[in-house]
Amino acid sequence: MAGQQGAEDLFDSILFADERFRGEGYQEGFQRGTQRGLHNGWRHGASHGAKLSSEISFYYGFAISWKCLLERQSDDRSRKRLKALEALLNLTQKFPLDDPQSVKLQEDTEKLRAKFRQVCSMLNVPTDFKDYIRTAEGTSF
Amino acid sequence: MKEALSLVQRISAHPDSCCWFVSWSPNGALLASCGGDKAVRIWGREGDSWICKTVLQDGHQRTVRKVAWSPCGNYLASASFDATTCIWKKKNDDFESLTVLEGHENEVKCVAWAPSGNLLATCSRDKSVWVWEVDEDEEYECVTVLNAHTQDVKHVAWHPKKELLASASYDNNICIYKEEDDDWECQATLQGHTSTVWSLCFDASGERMASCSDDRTVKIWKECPSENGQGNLSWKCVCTLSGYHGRTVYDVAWCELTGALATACGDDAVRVFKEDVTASPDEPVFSLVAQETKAHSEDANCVSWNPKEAGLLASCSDNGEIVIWRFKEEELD
Amino acid sequence: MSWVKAASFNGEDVFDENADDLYLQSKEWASNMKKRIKDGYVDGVNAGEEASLQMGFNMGFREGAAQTVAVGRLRGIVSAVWCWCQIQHPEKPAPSHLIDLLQQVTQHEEGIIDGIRKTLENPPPSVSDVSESMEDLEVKPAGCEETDCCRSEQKMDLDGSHNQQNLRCESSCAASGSAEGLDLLVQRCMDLASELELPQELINRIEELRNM
Repeated sequence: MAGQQGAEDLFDSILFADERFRGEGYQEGFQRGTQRGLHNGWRHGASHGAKLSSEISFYYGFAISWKCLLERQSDDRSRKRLKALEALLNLTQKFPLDDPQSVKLQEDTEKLRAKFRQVCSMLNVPTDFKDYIRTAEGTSF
Repeated sequence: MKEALSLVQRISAHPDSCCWFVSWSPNGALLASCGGDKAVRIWGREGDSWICKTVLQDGHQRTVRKVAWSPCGNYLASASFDATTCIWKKKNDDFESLTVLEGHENEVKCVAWAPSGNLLATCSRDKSVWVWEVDEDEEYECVTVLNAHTQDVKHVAWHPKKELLASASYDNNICIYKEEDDDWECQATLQGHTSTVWSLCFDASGERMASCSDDRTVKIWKECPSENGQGNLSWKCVCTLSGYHGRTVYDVAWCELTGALATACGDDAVRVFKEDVTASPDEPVFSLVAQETKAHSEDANCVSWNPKEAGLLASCSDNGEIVIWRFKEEELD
Repeated sequence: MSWVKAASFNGEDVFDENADDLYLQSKEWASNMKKRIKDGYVDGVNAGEEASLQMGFNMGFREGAAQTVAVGRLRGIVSAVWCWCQIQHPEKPAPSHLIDLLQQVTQHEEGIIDGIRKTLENPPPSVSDVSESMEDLEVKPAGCEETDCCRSEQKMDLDGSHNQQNLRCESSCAASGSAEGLDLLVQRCMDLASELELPQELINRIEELRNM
């Protein structure tokens, strides 16, 4: 009986050692992996965030300026333009820049780009202006 | 009943080039055609034959892909691969360039006038659909840019009675747009075709829509109240015409006067389908009643029913030809 | 059965005979355990990375986004002013210092984005790095040390935040280096707006960018 008991203990301790060493390695690895994940994630996130925010902020700056420039005019055409500018401003302000996991991010980006194109068309923005517009194209989440 | 397509006239309309599209003026008196020669041609009847009345040149730097008449018949819009849309105004018997709509990033694929004449829609390879508003001073202003498609948008068509717009795309889908809270929105995305949707059109009532595709089928969609009951309409595919077309179906046209459905196909044929009036509206049945397998010597690109003269059909092809047909339904005794 | 024996070795049960044999057995045992640790380590790295990637992305995204707000807005404002000039006076080219300012702002913004990319351009550890760092792990026979899960986790957290602080410091250093540059550009934009007699409301909007 005592022999059998000893054998079981022995067996347990082998298993235990096996699992424990594996577990120890796992812990160390997990720690390393977490750092690596945070680092890599941060790297990609920061780059995407900076580009997307640059684009959205550009639209905001563009729209707010035109709003200031047109505000004093009261003709029909200017009123229509102001309305479109308000819509553009509204979209930039609602944009979920603080929530990179938002399911609406892609959709909102598309909406914003479409609204910006409409505004440019309404304002008769010169076509060579395109050279100054960079989008955060290629951003994927 | 015995039906047939008989040849009225074969016209070499855009020689040494291709003819992309033909469109009848609202009163049926004129036919506009456009092609790879960057020109728009206007055809009118003289005696028994159709002759070229005028050529609209110098408006575009590249292929003119589509032309559309305004509902009043006084304006013509041409969509070109040069990324612009030209608006032409009729002056006596001639047309002058009124304005050029810029904004699309690349090839404009289609242009269509809303029934009111106050709105114009354009679509492009840049994946977007634009709606333009026309004011009293003949000024055009973009009212919305819609990015509902993920690929090249091939065609746009307006509902005949409401301000409802449909678009067909290389992404295999059809999108339906409506103005909602002061802005245009994609209200429905119709999935069903398994390849590029090349064209679509509404029937006279606007309750149904026909679409044609690279998947060699024509689909009939019917408007039905949406399940969530929020007033938005949804569209269901109630019929698929398959097995008739040997290649891509490039165009489909629903005759407002007779209800006949014509198709233009990459297998060079022009076909006409008629609906079985005894079938249930929820399960319509269409049968092939006439076909010209060698309507053209190359791809048939477009078919168009004359809006005033029942049965008068125009088709055009890659070889630059326009063919005028008469579709006859003969009563047998 | 050598590693069975070794596994039962716990300091009390000493085999004084066959010391060489025991040494060999113990070595074999150690190599086996080392393999266990390595297996666990690799699994742990993958699991850890997977668990933290999104979190890192989110943190980085917000941080990166915050850094381009002011300069992005400034670029939008200068662009709008440029368009305004073109439309108001289509017959003459835009003022050269306006074009210059637009280029400077665009460059400044590119600098910030490049800076973010470069400070973080540490290539991620490769498989060989993982094996190398394995060498740092001491493999001790069973029973020599208690595993302290809590302590490990604490350490991990500390390391994680430490790492994060490093990143933050580096990138904010990069940004602060150019913050003065941005203030200068904002000032130039304000001067230009006054010179062009643009509405005061717009000049106020430009000034707001200073405090962002």
